[in-house]
Amino acid sequence: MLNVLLIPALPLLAAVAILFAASPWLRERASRIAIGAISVSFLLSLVVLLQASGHEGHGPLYEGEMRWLTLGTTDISLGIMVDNLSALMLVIVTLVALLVQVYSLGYMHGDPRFSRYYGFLSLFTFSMLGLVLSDNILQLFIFWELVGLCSYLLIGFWNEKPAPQLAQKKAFLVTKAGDLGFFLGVMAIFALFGSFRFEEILAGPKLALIAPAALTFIALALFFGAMGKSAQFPLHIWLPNAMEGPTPVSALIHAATMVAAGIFLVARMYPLFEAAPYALAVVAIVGTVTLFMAATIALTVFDIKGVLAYSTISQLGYMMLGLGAGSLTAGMFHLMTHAFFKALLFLGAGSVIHAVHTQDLREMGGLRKDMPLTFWTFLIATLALAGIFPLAGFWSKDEILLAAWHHSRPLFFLALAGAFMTALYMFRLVFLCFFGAGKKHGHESPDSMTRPLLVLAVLSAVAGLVATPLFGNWFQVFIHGAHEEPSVWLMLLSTLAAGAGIGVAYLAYFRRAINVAVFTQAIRPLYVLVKNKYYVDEVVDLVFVKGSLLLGRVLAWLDHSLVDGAVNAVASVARLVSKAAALIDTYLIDGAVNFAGWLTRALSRVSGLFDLYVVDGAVNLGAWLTGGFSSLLRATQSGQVQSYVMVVFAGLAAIAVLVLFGGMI
Amino acid sequence: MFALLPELAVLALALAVLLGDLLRKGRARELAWLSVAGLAGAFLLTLRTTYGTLFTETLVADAFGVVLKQLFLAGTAVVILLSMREMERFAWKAEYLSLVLFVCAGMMLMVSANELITLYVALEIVTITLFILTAYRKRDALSVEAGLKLYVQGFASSGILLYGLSLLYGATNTTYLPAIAQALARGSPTATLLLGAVMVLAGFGFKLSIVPFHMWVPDVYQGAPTPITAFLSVGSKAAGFAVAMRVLVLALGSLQGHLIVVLGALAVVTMFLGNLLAISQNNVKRLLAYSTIAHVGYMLLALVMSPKVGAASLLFYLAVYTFANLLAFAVLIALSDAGGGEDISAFSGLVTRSPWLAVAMVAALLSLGGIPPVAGFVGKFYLFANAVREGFLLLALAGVVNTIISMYYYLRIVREMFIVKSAAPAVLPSFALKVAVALCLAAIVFFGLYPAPLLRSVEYAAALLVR
Repeated sequence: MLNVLLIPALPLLAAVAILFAASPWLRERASRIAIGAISVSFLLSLVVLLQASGHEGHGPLYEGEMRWLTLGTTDISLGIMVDNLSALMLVIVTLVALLVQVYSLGYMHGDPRFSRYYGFLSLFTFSMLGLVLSDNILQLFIFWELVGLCSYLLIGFWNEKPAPQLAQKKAFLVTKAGDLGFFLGVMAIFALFGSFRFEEILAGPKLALIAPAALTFIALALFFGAMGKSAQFPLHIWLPNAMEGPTPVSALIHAATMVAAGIFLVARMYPLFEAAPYALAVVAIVGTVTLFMAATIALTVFDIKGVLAYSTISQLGYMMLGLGAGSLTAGMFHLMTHAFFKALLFLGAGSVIHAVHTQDLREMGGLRKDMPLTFWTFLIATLALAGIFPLAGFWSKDEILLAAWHHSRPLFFLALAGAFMTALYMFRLVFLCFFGAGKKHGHESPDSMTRPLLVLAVLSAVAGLVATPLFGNWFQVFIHGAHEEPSVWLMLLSTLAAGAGIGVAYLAYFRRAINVAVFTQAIRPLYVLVKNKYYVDEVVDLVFVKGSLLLGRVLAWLDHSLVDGAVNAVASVARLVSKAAALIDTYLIDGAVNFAGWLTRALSRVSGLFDLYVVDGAVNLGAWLTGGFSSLLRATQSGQVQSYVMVVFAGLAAIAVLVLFGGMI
Repeated sequence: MFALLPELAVLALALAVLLGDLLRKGRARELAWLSVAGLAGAFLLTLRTTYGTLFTETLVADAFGVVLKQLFLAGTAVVILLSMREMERFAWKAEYLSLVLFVCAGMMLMVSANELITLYVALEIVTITLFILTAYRKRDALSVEAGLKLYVQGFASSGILLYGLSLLYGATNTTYLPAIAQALARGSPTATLLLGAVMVLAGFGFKLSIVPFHMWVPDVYQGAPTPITAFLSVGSKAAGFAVAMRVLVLALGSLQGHLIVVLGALAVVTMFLGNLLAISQNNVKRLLAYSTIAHVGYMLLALVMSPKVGAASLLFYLAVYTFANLLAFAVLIALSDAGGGEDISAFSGLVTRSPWLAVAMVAALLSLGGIPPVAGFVGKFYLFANAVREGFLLLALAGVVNTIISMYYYLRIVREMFIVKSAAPAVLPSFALKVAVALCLAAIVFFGLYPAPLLRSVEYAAALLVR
């Protein structure tokens, strides 16, 4: 139990030590502390994975909890649970985090906030590990918010520039919109199941007793949260902007781990989704729409990280399609392989950016010679992503396509088209960046950056084999997923699609046999639509941002103008009196305060409290008082005590009518 | 008699401060520390309260009251710590301290009142003293204006409240709260009784700044001396909710069926209006004023629930809200003491000018916005989850939507502190202010990570309250 607790605890301790330490001695050693902590966490995670792999029998490997608070008769606990799903996630998260932290030694070298960077990375790693270890949905939600916060901090790490500021705000708000759905789902779960614990929700007897409509609602609400975190259409708009963060951060958070949290959520709650087939169908459709649209956009982007961002969105769409099509194995398998090759692609892109100091593909070219290590590892990852036999992506993508084939033919063909586009946009990137005439000269990155590339390249090449008969279908057995017999013709078909993509990219961007400009001109309206990312950002901006600003302004106007205006009409006569009094008062500003106090005292004595009970009386009193200290009121321009009192009485009258006669209406 | 010891101690303290000033002039700072120590002593006395009734049952000492009294004592101590710099500007320093202590004693009496007239008297002790404190910056036109506004509207609403109370007496022939509850249980409510209840609700609505009785809040909050604004935003809200709980929910419990729709509607309107109007504010005092209105909207949910669950939710929320709001005000006061003003731009680049104040402010804002791991999250969660359990799913949903809206303006301040650069000098808060910040920060972090002890005591109090 202690060894499991240490896995998230070590990065947390590292984060606290780095971020809150006042001593420069500690701060100088920030990277060593962070990398040391994550290394131990990684080794412990490996041990846990091996234990889980050998674990016979049902139920989680580790479980433990402590009471946190009591709600009515229900105890809410904090706890950890290690089952095969979380054991797998532990290894993926700690491994990628370790490699990214080593890589950052070179990439972030000399940054003035080097130590804070490692503090944030450690904090993120802790939050992500806490998320996968949670034994109840509420705790998962808490860590879900924490990873969101870390993502916010790291996207805006270089916050001197305006773009990262905007990007971090956008990412936070858009994912928050998804979280609204998640929270609704959590509340509904508690209302219906009376518990937050996964065991009681998913394995208990209640799942079979609750109405399917309610389950569908819960599943859709949770999925909405997953859409925000995992950048599914139309909540995907934050991810491309999130690339403003340092590139290793993009690799860790916005490619391999945090964005996969939405996939993990659906996988974690999979029995519930299986009990709600409509929700599962929605998952498949949203995933397919996302994978297709993001792939088309990736074809038109010239920013090297932008291409990878849209590619990530597209691949997350594949994972959702796999889950939605009923295959837990396919979704989780692609999550794993994608974590390796997409992290490698981002780190490779970072290596390129580090060398040539630009992110624009049009300013690159011919870097193959200058950066051989970066080039070869990048090529392996590209082939893996494109789904070329026998690299990792080939196996996991085929698993998804197979599930889609059995689920729905239209979705299958869209996914197949996506596979074609995947190969096309990735090789477009490779040809533009590494081949052709060199416009800028690069140099190979330092060892600290290239070694993680090599490790990831090996994983991208061989990680797919764990789900093949070669390893006795270890992965499928481990995830307890249904195992479907692979179909050879489907493998051929997907290889054909990928090959076609590579071929078209070769002709268009290497041989220049296809004139891209002429082609885009021919389909201009479509191209403009895709180039502008289907205008999703603009629609969101118009509806939500402008809309809520307008609402705020209208309400403010109502509060200020309308209420005052109504009273002004009533008390216009009193105004005249007050103006006259004001003229006198101007000469008596010093005495005004005393005068007002005296007048009020006199008034209350004379007219008595009884006057106040009548609406007319109050307005009159207000008018009198205005006369008394109008110079004060004029000086501050607002004021309008009489209107305030008027509102009080109007409100009282309205409530009284509602309560006394509400029953009759 | 022993049950009243904390109140007596605070009164004695107020008088001791006045006397001390007579004997040795110009020792306001020492007197302030003496007050803080005295309040801490009174806090210890509350721990030994014997439960029961006093003075022919006009006052009641119960666990519900004790939790609130402890909150008032801690809150008042923080307010005094925050007043150190502000006090230097006043001609009458010791009088300021004793007035603050009188307000505290009045609030403690308010939450102990078991009878309508006692309740009204206690409420007026608080209200009238607050008029004076609001206008305490005598040379500042805004402050004087705020005092007068509070005065005029305060008396208008007191009139309504008093009329309502007299209607209740007329309908039930008693001013004792338990007797009113018994009288109501015997027959179906008359129109007189309902009108009385509505007027009482409106009277409390003013103290609590429920929309549409909220109009005074922004002007008064902006004009009052900032420590007094902080006091108004936590102490008088807590006291108001406590009496609303005792009168509207417990004594008039059998009218709940008639009032529930109105209370729910008021809650939703109050939270939405408070949050939406806070968005466009640039003066942080006004912003926090509207934010207070929004929090009152959330807490109104507690009055809709069944008494036991509602009382526990309310007490817990009040406790965490008090410390978070005081913390936000503490940072604001540190900045305006340093000459930065009270606009949102005063927070520019605070993270480089005073990192600990910036961290404290972030914690306060996250707590107000209800984001883990600080206590505000547990408070909101407990409140909304209880609302869902009681079947008020839509009200809880409105609360959650509002929480998201509120993050927009809370994050505006965070952004100002962390992203906007500023050449303004470092902020060096006084020792007293540091103590206040540390106290509030510790409270919201501790109750955020480990709320179990506080939850136990509020649930115990609520269970004893409703039997």
